[in-house]
Amino acid sequence: MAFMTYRKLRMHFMEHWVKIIIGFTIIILIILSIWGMMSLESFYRKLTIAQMPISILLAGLNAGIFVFMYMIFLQGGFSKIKQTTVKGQNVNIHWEDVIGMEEAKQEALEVVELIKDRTKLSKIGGKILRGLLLVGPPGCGKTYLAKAIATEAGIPFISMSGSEFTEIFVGVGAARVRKLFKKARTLAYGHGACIIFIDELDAIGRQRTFSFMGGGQETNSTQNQLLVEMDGLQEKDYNVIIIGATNAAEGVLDEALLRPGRFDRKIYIDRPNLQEREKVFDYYLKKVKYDRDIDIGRLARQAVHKSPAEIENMIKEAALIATRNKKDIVGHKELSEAMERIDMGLKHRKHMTKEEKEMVAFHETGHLVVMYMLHPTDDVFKASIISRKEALGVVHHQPREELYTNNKEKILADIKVSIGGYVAEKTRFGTTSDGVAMDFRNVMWKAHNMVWMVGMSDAGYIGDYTIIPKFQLSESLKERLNAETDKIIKSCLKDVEDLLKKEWPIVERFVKELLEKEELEYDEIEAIFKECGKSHNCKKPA
Amino acid sequence: MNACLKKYKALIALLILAGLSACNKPSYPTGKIEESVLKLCKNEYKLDNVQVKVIGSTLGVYIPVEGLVSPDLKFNEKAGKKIEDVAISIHRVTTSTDMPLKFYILTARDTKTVGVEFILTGFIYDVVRVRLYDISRGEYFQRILRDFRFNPAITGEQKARELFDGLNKNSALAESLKSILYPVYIIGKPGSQKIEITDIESKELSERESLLYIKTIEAYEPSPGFEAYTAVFPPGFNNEYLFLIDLSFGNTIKEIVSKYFYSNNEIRQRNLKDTFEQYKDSGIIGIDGFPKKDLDMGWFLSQQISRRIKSIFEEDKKLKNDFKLASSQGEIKDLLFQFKFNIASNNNKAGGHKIIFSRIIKMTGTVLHLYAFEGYEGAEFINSAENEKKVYLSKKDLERFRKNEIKIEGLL
Repeated sequence: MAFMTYRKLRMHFMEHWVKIIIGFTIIILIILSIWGMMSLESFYRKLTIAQMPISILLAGLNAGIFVFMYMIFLQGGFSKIKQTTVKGQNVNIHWEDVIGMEEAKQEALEVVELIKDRTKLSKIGGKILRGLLLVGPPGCGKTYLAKAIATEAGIPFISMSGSEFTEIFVGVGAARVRKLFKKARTLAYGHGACIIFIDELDAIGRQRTFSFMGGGQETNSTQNQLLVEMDGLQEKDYNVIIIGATNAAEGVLDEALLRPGRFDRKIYIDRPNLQEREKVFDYYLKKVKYDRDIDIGRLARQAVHKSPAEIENMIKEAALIATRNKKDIVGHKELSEAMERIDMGLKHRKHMTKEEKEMVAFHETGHLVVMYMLHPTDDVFKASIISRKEALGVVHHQPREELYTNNKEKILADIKVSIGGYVAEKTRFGTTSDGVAMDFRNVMWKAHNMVWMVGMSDAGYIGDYTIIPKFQLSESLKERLNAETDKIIKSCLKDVEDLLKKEWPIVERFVKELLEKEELEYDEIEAIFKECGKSHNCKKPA
Repeated sequence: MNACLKKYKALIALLILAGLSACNKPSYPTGKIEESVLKLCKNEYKLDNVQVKVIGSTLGVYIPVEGLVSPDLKFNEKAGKKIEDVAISIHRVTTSTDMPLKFYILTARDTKTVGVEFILTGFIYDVVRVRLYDISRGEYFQRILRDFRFNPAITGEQKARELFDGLNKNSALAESLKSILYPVYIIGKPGSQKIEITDIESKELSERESLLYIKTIEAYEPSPGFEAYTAVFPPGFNNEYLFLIDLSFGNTIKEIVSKYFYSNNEIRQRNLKDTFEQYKDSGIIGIDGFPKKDLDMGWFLSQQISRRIKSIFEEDKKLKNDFKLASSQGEIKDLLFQFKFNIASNNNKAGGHKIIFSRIIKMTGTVLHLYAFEGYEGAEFINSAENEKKVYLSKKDLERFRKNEIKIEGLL
């Protein structure tokens, strides 16, 4: 105990000796000043005190000028790094705060155990963990997880961003890496271990480039220094663990960084699945006042592929909308609006003629009815004829669950949904608009890929013909393949025409509703279908 | 680290607070002013014959100096150094005390040449201001009053004592003053008379004149035939005299009046005390070297302005060329400043009187404004060189003149 206290005191002195000496000198100077002042006559004492503010101001100004000159001319300040050093327990983010990444959390827990039990591990000759790489899309909680590791391990935590190392001057980045590790070793000496967290590691961890012009030399030297500090020849081995976070693909990082002994453990932090999203929604909703009737499961289904950061943002946005609407609590309407704002952008009403508006309403209704009646995986959450960005209308749909593959039926349904707008326009007006351009691009692309790439044509063409150079394919084969593509589209077109002809009263009903209300929510859509006897509860979101 | 920094900060703040609170104590507290000046003069300047007295808000300091002037009446540098040391001690004490002192007056009196004295009078806030560089040293020197003079009261007293000493030695002088020093030289046997001064009171009537009221005890033996007088003037009877002293007069003693006189065959007497009381004392410093009363701002400013009038017409080369200043005096009576000066135009310059009054009134307004002095109702400016030409300005008009809102032409 006494030994540890001694080590901590010594570490404290090693780390802050400049501050301690300056502090001590200041105290001595103050004592001497007061002693000197006491020997003065009260007039001069008062005079000195009265002059103190301006003296301090001038001294501050002089010091400021000196520091500025020093930074500019003597380069002393360029390698200075702004490190955010905190004690582990002060980070104050615990395991229970880490949500939406159960698997990553389990892996991280193991890492914490390893950090805590390093002494035990060294004794049995195990290899001490050196680096941990957190990889995953942005906003999925990599930094959060790193902070939780620091809290749970109870050791100091130095946080830096990869971009903080880069500088125009060659050698400055490397100097910053040296300083960073020197500080970390000092902290490790006093506390037993220290975590360095480097966010956006790819800024300095990209594969090194060797150019005869000298380009990239600074990044290379920074990375070289990092490699040396992580697993280079050191006088003494300190317990410094480096956690890197990046959303770059693994191939982007330099191989030397990823070899054992450096970032020898990788944790993939992906977007949350349905259950994790529910937890995330539950966690962030608790931070605002919300309507207890909100169906969190439905929200989670609606927020497919959204990261925890996006969900947090969505709830914050909903709270803002509620405030704007003078409501005390966040309801489903605000959350829906927030999600729509994030997904589809802000509404901005364009002035359209009555005919145009009607055309858009029929177009969107075409999509809506086909989507509802024929799509096997997606639900319609909203239909709108209010313009957003470049679109004059939109039908918002989401898959009911994460799907990582698309089967033939789904792709055909996608094609039919895209054609729905065109068919509705043509059926009602006998003509069509150029609003179908994007739909047709989707249709063509999907039908083409079905035939050319994934062997989904009825004619039995198997294989990916796109990897073969076009000139090596016979003209007749190309014609046959294209004929298959055309066949798929036509078949879909017919199905859609039949459907819409059959369900035309429903189409007209939706058009009427859309023209009146401009927007229809999930519940309203479901109610109309139910009214028309077409509701399929099996597809209804919870 | 944060906790450590907090400790440092707390310690530094504590030290500073302790220091600042200790700084609040005056170095020379009320009640120890006299002692402090004496101690400073003795310990730091080796002057142990200084005397100090506080009269109201005025600090009076007296120092007798041997050889303040040389035999040819020139100011002695060594004596000057002593006066400077005392002045520094006064400044140090008056600026570092909590006693509400307003003025200081330092009197240095020559012990060899009787009546020669140097008087330094100053406003303590001016000392503070010059130390804070709020006013320039030049301005400060204009603000202090320096008088180097013969004190007519002290000189007169000395002359009176010498006169009575001479009388007691039965000199020819006694014979010549027989009729004035009535009755001992009339009724007494020659050589038996002895006059002893019991009390002298003096008043300064002007810069050069003083009036002495002297009480005596007179002993004698009656001359034959005058024995009966012993019933009226028993040997050792009390007598009184009034002496009028004029330093510009050859013999200094211009006039002596005795209490008793013989007229129309009878012995009569005058009430000399009443006569003495009727005269106003214009002197500031008493025989003891201390101010006779607490100084007031009105008097101080009247003296300062009258000196500034002198310096305007003596130090400005152009004005000195064009005008001749004979005298300048100032006083304040019944809230009215009166500045009487004698300034004549050397070559009857056209508009000369405008320049004289304009410069003087402007300067007066500025000085009163700078001191923010409100204790007056108006100021009167009289030029005796121009048939007592008089200009009167109320306080409001004086301020307007200072701001150039009134032209001199409208006043003359």
